[in-house]
Formats: sequence, structure tokens, C-alpha cells
Amino acid sequence: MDNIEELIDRYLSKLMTEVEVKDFENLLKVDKTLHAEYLKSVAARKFIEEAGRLELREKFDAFESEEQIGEKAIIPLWFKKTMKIAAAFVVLFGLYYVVFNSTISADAVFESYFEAYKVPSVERNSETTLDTNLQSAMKAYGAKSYEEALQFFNKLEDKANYVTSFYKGLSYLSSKNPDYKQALQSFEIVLQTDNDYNQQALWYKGLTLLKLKETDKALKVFQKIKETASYNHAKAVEILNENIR
Amino acid sequence: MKTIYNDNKDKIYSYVISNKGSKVEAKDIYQETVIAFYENVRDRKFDGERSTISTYIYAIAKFKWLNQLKRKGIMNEFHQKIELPNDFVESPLSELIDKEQKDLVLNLLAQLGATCKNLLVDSIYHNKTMKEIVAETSFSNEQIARNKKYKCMKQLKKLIAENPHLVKILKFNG
Repeated sequence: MDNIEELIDRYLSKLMTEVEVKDFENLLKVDKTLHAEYLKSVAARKFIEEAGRLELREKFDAFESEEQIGEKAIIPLWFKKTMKIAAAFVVLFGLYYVVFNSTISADAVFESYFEAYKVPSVERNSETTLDTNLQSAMKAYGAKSYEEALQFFNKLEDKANYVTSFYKGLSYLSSKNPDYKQALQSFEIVLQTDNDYNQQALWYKGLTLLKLKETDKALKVFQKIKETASYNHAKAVEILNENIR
Repeated sequence: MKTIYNDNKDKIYSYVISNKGSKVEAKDIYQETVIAFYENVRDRKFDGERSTISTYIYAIAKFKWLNQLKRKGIMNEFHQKIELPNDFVESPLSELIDKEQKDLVLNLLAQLGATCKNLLVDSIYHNKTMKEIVAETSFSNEQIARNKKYKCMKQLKKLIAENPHLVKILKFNG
């Protein structure tokens, strides 16, 4: 019996030589017991495939839960410690809000919503080989050394693409001496073509425009994000509900 | 796997939700998509040469969601052409077992036991070699692991045979 199991397993796992495959298929035609066992094995494999998928789904659910916990866990300790002070500030802010006709500065909106985008896991250039400058740029970006990242991004010139433009724009926004005009230019490059970073670039374009005091243009961008329900559309709705001065 | 899952999630959720989908549907489509992506990498259908991982995942998700809309009658086939990456192969087993029958599968797996379940899933679904399995488990050598696999297969076939409903599903699909 184990021999039959082994034979079927080797056939279904594609571990047989061409000659063995021919012999096995001929045997299947004449040996009814083997044929019946073979059909059962095919069904059992289908079952295991489905079990594997269920296992993956469980893993994905765990990722989702971890992410939710992570989101909660990123509240810094100092923030928790100063919650009482913050609560008092909220009361004062509430008064300020009423007194000053419920307005908020564009800078404050930017500071509340800007967050550097995560670094990509693997990035390859058109020749599918990892570019040293790109690797170094992403490494520096991941380490929050944005000035260093910009140096490497600028060396990429000929190999620049929407990915490098996107992260270059973010580096301009995140560096110690932010250059909002350069950042905007970088995001515009990303938005010129249809690519994976369009939606994200649009979001950051809106935030950059706030910093450049082009509030009307920024609001149009957030309106577009809202209408197309693209990346961060819920946050765009929140911004649109603010009375930005 | 975790990085890929987390990196592409927002984009796919956003796509499904902005195209008449709910968050629950977005999650479902996204998980199906990542499973399809995993299986295509496993079967060497995707090698990363023709498209980036995120472009590939996006194309699969779009294909799956538009198909679902079509099935629900929300979109007819003339509205939008569904394009898939050239190197993508949809698994014939992808919707083999209805979600309602998930419990049936889980029950049977429980009867099979953790050792057998892990051994069969690793070997058949994840396509791991016996050498890899031995390195990751307590089996002392490949032959022992292989013999255990055959015994587990026999046990599984017996359990399936005792579930006529499951036999019917497995016979009529794929």
C-alpha cells in the first residue's frame, strides 16, 4: 500500500522521469485499484491546497491585528505622560477655536497629517539589478537620514523614475531644511504617468501645497482625493472639513 | 510575506472601496490576491522580471474585483476590459471550497492532527522539499518524513471518504 502511495505521490509531485510517467499512466489505465487510489489522492491534494490557503488567511488576519495593535502602540510614552496637560490644552484650544472663528493654520494641518511614507521592501531598476545609489538612498531614507538620501537620489539622474521621484519628494519634505518647491516638483513628476505611487503622490502634493501657502490649490487636491476615494481619502475629508486660514 | 502584505494593503483596499466595495470585501479580495500572488511565485509563474510586485498585485486585485462586480451584475463585460499580467495563472482551485464550508475543512484538519497537517501542507501546498521539512521539524531524516507523509495521506483519504459532502465538492471542482 505504501508503495502505491509513494508511486502516486512521485507522479503528482512531478518527481518521475519521462519513462516512469509513461509506465505509470499505462498502469493507471489497467489497474483499477491504483486508479481508485489515484483519484482519492488527487482529491486529498485539493483538500490540502485549500487547507494551505486557509492557513495563509489566518496569517494575514494576524498581520491585520498586529497592524492595529501597532497603530495603538506607536503613541509615544511622553505623549501618554502629558495626556493631562494635553487635555487642558484641548479645553484652551476649544476656547481659541470659538474665539477665532474656528480656523486653523495651513502649517498646523500639515504638521498634523504629514508622516513620511514607509520605505519599499525591494526596489529594482529597469535592468532588475539593484542599483547601489538607489539602495543607499533607500537605506538612508529608511534610517531617516533624509539629507544623505537626497544626495544619493540626485546621483541617480539617468535612472530616475517615479519611485525615486516619490521618495525624493518625501526626502525634501522630511529633511531638516525642507524644500517644498522641490518636493512639489518631484510629486508632479510622479503624477505625470500612471504608476503605483500616483495616489500617494497626490496626497503628499496636497500637503506640500499647504506648506507653500497655496491653500486653494491644496483643497482642490484633497477634493479630488475625496471624490476618487484614493489614498488617505478619509484624512482628506477631515482636512476639507477644517476651516484653514 | 508580512512586508509585502502590509506594503500593498492600503492601495488595494482603496481601489476596492472606491469601486463600490465594502471594507470587508476589500479585505477578502486583498487576501485572495496575496494568496494568488504567493502561488504564482511558488509555481515560478512570477519572477519579478516583467513587473514589480506591487504592479503585479494591483493587476491581480483589479482582475478579481472586476470579476466579482461582473458576477454581482454591477458591471457588465463591456464596461471595462479586464487585463491580467501575462505571467499570471489563476489557480483552478482558488474558489474550490465555499467560505461556508470552511468549518468542515477545519474540523477535518483537526482530526488529522497537527503533525500530519503541517507535514502535508508544507510538502504539498508550500512545495517544500523533504530536506527543508527535516531541517524545520523533529523528523530525524528524509526517509522518516517521507514515510510519515504517506501514512498521513492514507489517513486523510480515509477521513475524506467518510465525508460524502466533501467528496462531492472535491470531485466536482478543479
